[in-house]
Amino acid sequence: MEVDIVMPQLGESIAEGTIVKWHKKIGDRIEKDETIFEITTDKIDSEIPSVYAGRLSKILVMENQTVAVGAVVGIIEAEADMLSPTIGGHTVKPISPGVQVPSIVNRQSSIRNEGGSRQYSPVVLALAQEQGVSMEELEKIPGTGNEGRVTKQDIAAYVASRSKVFASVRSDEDIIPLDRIKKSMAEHMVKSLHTSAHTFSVSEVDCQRMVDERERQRQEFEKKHGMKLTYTHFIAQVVVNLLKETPMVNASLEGDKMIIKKYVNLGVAVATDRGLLVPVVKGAHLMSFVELAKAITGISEKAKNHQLVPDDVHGGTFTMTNNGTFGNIIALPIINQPQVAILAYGAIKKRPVVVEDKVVVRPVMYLTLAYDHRIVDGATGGSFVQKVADVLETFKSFII
Amino acid sequence: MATLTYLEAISLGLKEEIKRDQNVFCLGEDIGVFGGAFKVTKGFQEEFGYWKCFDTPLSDSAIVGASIGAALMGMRPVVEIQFADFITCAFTQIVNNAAKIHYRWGAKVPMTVRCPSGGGVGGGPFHSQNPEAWFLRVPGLKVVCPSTPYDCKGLIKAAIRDDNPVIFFEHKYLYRRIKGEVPADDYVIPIGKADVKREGTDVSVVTYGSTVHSSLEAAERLAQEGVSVEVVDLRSIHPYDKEAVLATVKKTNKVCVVHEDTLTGGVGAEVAAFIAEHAFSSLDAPVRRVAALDTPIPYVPALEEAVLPSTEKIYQVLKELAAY
Repeated sequence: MEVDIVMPQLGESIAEGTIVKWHKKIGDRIEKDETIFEITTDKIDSEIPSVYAGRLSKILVMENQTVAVGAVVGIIEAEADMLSPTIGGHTVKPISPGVQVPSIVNRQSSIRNEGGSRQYSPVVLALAQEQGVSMEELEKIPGTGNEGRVTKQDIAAYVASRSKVFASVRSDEDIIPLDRIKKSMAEHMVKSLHTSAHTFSVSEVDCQRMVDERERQRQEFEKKHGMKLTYTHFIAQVVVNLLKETPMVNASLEGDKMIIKKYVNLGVAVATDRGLLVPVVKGAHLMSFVELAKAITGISEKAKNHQLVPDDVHGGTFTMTNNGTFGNIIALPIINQPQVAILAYGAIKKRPVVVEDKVVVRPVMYLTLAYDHRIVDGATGGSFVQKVADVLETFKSFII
Repeated sequence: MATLTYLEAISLGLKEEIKRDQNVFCLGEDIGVFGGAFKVTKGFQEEFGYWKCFDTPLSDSAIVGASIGAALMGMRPVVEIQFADFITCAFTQIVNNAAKIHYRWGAKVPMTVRCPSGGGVGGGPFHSQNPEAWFLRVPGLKVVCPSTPYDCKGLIKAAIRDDNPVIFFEHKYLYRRIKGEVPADDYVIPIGKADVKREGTDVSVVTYGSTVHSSLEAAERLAQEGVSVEVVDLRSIHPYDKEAVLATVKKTNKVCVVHEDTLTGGVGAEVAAFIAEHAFSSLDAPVRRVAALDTPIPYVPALEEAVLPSTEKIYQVLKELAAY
């Protein structure tokens, strides 16, 4: 019986997916739970297994095409399950497997050796069918095989050259097509700028307290929890606490409705070898310092090891990003939609500052809050980031 | 791990099985006192006693018949046919009795028949044949043809432990000419599983037995010329690893089946037909075969060389395939 293969929904807020690769071809046999195709949603690739055993009879959505969740992407000619109950009063008879051996697709190519000037081998015809090479095109492909016949390599080379849109004309230029992650990032960034009214407020932080506290707790923390204690953990804890007090900065705007969230899903930007990812620590508002620290470190590792699933990058309510890795002190970040604010924290550098009318040397860091002035005004945004700075300067101690 | 010859690996496997299972015993012509025509069972009678390795009269039909009887009584005989060519004397015992008893009576015949096969040693027509194709077509039998010492030990154990009658063709040319690493542990190679002896991308060779080595030599020569050859050693002829065959065809789209046995109706014919039937749309060239000419194996060395497949002949065909 014919069964639809649909684009699955891998996360609550995911609305579409892009087919990256079909693992099966038309006519291929599919076993239950075998991977049929691979999709990408927001830079996360997932392999999709088949619910049914049977044969792939139609492919409706090609590779690199994006469709909505639930859209039909292909059709399987499924074998009736031996254990399935009667359907409509009739016992569904299982289709007996003909060949016991997994056979390679013997595709009926609609492109045939008919009347053309050359004969084409089965694999060449199969490839032509698969890649949409017409008979006219096939006739023109130069053959490097025996007596000028077209080999598999010849048609493969033709297909490859056909899809190359750009030929690099200048030797002092490299042309590199965008990979999926870059493409996704490009679209997201521009869309964000077109959506939010980006406004920025900067606060200066005397980090002496934070530096001292971290130094005090560092070794025991590492021994006890098997991971490093970082400034990010401190900043994150302060941010999460203050977001509970200033939920306007922990919101989103849908149409003309503000969604003010009482929970905090904290996104922490991570630079990976595949690009910028923002995994989310869900339920940060309920976590203790240690839990939050572990969650942040954990999800950063997951991101670096390409182990994130789509749900890991969705549902964030506020984002933090460290722009100090390369020594920068201030950055003007782009808001991570559909949030309304993002906090960048820069490198901590020793500076001469004035304390009680005297010049002293202190470790200084700058916080930059970018916020959406459609609903977060300067007073709200500015005072929020200043409060973060104030708490970091004056906190008594963290319960670690 | 030790470096053993092909022959030593078989001996070792046999010894370990005799020690492991008291039902295992060897019988055959000259294998007891003399230690076997090729010395595979040298020292066995001294080590294990008369009834573990004894001499039989010169009648393969009787030897195999007696083995079938012993097997029916619960023993696991390993019978040696002194030269594989003489297996024809035991043909009805193997094909009509051993192969069909389980089907007819539901009784098991866990017999192993060891046969030194193959040419290249100047043995002439009656001492050089490769009879595996005669048995490929008999349901109820299993047939294995190892090519390396490692495969020998693993497969002789598999053959002895299998409850079906298994014919074990040991290539006499390889006996002392091939050495290899053989682990000391009790490993078994499953019957029906091939082994990719060399990975490649341009052309595939499906082969077994002595031609594994000449195919590898041809592959090496072609590698110098920029052609990447994959060599798949079937190891088992009956059943043979159909999945491995399909996988290699799908990978390179060009395949040649090579065996030392004569061309017409050999294992290559079956494999080629299977490929044409099940992997047609993956073929970028006709399926080729390299095998012995359809003649008796000559005694005169120059003629024998002309009849048997050689590295040079394999090389030429693979080269043609690659350029097709």
